[in-house]
Amino acid sequence: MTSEGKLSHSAAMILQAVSAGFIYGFSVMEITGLPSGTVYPAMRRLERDSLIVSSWEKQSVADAQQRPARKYYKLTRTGMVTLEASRKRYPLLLKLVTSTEAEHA
Amino acid sequence: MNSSQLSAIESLQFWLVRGAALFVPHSQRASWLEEWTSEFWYARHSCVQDSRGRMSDWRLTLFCLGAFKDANWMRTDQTLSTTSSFDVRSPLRFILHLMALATLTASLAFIVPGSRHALLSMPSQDTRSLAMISTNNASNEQQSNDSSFSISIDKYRSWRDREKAPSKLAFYEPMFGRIRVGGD
Repeated sequence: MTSEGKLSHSAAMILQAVSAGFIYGFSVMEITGLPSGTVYPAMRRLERDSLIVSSWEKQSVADAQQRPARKYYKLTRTGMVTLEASRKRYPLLLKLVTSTEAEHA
Repeated sequence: MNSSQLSAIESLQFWLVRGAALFVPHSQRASWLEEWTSEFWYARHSCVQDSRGRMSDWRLTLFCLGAFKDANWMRTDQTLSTTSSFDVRSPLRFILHLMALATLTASLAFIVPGSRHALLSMPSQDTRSLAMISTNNASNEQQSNDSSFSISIDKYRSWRDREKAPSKLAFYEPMFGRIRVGGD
């Protein structure tokens, strides 16, 4: 994987979603409208290519809210560069997933 | 999550995720299942909030079926990363790869019956140090007419007994045939 933005449209959408604040699998799935069978493998691929990193939420935080811990994702530096390149390649990417939606989610 | 607390459709969804986990490589199965169990909880919670009844169940079932695709990706990626651990795209590794292949091929060639002889028996190019060993029943006249230097098999044996045997031996089988010399 290079930083030249050679991502598929689905992968670019997922990267954009994570960048916009949809930082766990199910929220990415909901905002992008992509099926689970696409989102989860794509996120693993992005993580394998060091474009995103994952970390588990503290169990104590989840327990306090009586819910299971979530696996959160965030963009890496390479991921940001790749996303910038992808935005040039897919100009509508920003309009498809915006950070405003994440704030209301 | 306990499956006994779930309805029939929820149990099916729960076991779909569990079933998909069987396809995940063993070393990653526990963490994969933990992630999917968590995601399933949020997906189910979201569908309950939607209160869209059967449609929500259907959506949730589709969500769980996606686990099989993810599990399959895990398995495929694991296999690829294992097989491509030796990256031949690197020049140095490519040369090492070729050398290993050459060694293996040569080893196999020596194992095959008769191949060792075929590979190593090179006809000598140094004709001045060659001697033809003739049989005992060959006539003296024939030997004397022969322009090449020859020894009898008895003489060869005596040389061999006195540890003066030639270092290399080549065996030729005489054959009769008409040959044409020159360009005409």
